[in-house]
Amino acid sequence: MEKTPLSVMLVDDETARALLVEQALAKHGYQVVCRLTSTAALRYHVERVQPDIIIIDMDSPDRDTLEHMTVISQHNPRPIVFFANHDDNPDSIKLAIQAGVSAYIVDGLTAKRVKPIIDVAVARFNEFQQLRQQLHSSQSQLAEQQLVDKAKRLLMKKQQMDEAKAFSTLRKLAMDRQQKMADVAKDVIAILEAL
Amino acid sequence: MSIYSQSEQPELTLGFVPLLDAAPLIVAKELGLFAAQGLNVTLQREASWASIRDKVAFGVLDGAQMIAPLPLASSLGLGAAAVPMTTALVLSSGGNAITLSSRLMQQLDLDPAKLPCPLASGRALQQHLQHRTQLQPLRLATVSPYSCHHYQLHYWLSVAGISARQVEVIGVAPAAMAAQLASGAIDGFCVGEPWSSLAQLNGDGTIVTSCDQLWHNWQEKVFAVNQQFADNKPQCYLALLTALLQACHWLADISSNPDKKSQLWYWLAQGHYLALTDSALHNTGLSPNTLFNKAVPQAFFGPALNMPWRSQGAFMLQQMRNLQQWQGPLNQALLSQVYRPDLYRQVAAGLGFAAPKEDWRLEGCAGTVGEGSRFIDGLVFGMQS
Repeated sequence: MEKTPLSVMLVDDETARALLVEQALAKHGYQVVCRLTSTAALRYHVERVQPDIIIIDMDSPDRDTLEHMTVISQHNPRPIVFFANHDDNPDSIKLAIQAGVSAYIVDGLTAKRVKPIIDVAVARFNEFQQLRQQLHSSQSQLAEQQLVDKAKRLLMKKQQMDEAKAFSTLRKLAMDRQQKMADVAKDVIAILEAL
Repeated sequence: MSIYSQSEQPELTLGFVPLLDAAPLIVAKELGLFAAQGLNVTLQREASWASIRDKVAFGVLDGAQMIAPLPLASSLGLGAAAVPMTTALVLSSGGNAITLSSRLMQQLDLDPAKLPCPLASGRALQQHLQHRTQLQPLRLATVSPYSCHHYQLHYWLSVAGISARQVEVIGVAPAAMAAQLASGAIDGFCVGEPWSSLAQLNGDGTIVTSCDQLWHNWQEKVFAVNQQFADNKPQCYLALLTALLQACHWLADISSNPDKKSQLWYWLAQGHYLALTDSALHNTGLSPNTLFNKAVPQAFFGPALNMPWRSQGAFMLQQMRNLQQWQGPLNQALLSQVYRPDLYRQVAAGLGFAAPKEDWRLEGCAGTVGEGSRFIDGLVFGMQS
């Protein structure tokens, strides 16, 4: 088996995600020869760098450009889905598609050599997605907390409650109405600010 | 009280590419036509035809709007692993156009205000290519190698006496076309609406011909599913086809009905569909009134229009052979699997719409139901069934 490390080209407009993938690939001994965030000159870079494998965001509109290149020349990379039939695990391609990873491979490479690279990319794409969800939920938690705090302050100021009383008032309202604290807080703020 | 068997989950996800002819899917969803069939359909926007193909092939999407030749290409394994796909409904006809950059128009000595017929503009391009002094080849773009756009562009070049070797044809996604033309990266393109009108409104190019002038009454987008889906969920599939054909019927008078046009504009404008107001389409003068450019005819309904003619499939295969994409025979078994006029007739009959009795017809001459197709060079294409 050939020992030269495969060269990888990454095309992704999510800079942070591309960095994650690049670091993980480097750790596994693969060489990322080109990382593109803007794909304006994708064809030029593919011809210049001639990577063994291109990992591209599934949602990139530039996939149609790559697809066209695969038709023009036998030397141009072919889509990973070609290898679906040769794969031991037919679900792995579906998992890659669901994660948002698509890949183009130089003709002649075996599925075995390529699979670890795809797996790394899929893992990092999924990890990035989770990070983004966590960030999103912690941001909204923070926003909810701020709403509750503001409602509490208004109750203390305009209804002369102490902090514990203000909090228990909000909690009772939320339980009675079967709503989230933040939603109740929003209503309380609207009413008290209108007074 | 579901009419579907337990194995048929009526929760479905369908894919579309942001183009005017995604309208039937969006109308079916927004008018509640899917819901009326007991289906809970989610529409998912996709950025490329490659993405649509892969997601339908691997069951991530249950079905999708597709460029008409794509189910054939996918079944043949052109450009990807072979996955049988099938269509029983044509969603639209027309909507494509060929646009040349303003710079090239000057070089061809063509006046945008006095455009000649497509044969003459093609001839002007042929003359230009014979005397072209630039080292860089003329570069034209289409959206996918397995699209009507690609075959129509080559047809126009071919009837003008231009060989495919004389130009470079590259792939560019629809939404990126206008910007590439403006930057000078390409000299012309063939794309679906509203992207041709956009380039013209921006002053970057001139529409030299609609593809309807090249191939009149031709299938453009189809609704396609994985063959496995059609086999495993026949009731769901029929219900989907019924809702979509109803949506096509609603769109029948869209270019002459201002109320419907405003309604459609409102739907398409939404961010998760075409995002008409916060994208490149904004501030170009594109409005409900100019949504359908008269110079680029587009239609969604007709007794012969929604029919998945096997003869049109055969003609597509012939185009694939002409461009060396496919070397096999005009395979009738394949055409019978990919194109299902029998299912179309069943769905049309259920809605009380007339449908042609034949699966095949002579392409390029008057049809038996509605208007027939017509090629700009008078070609008649026929095959014995």
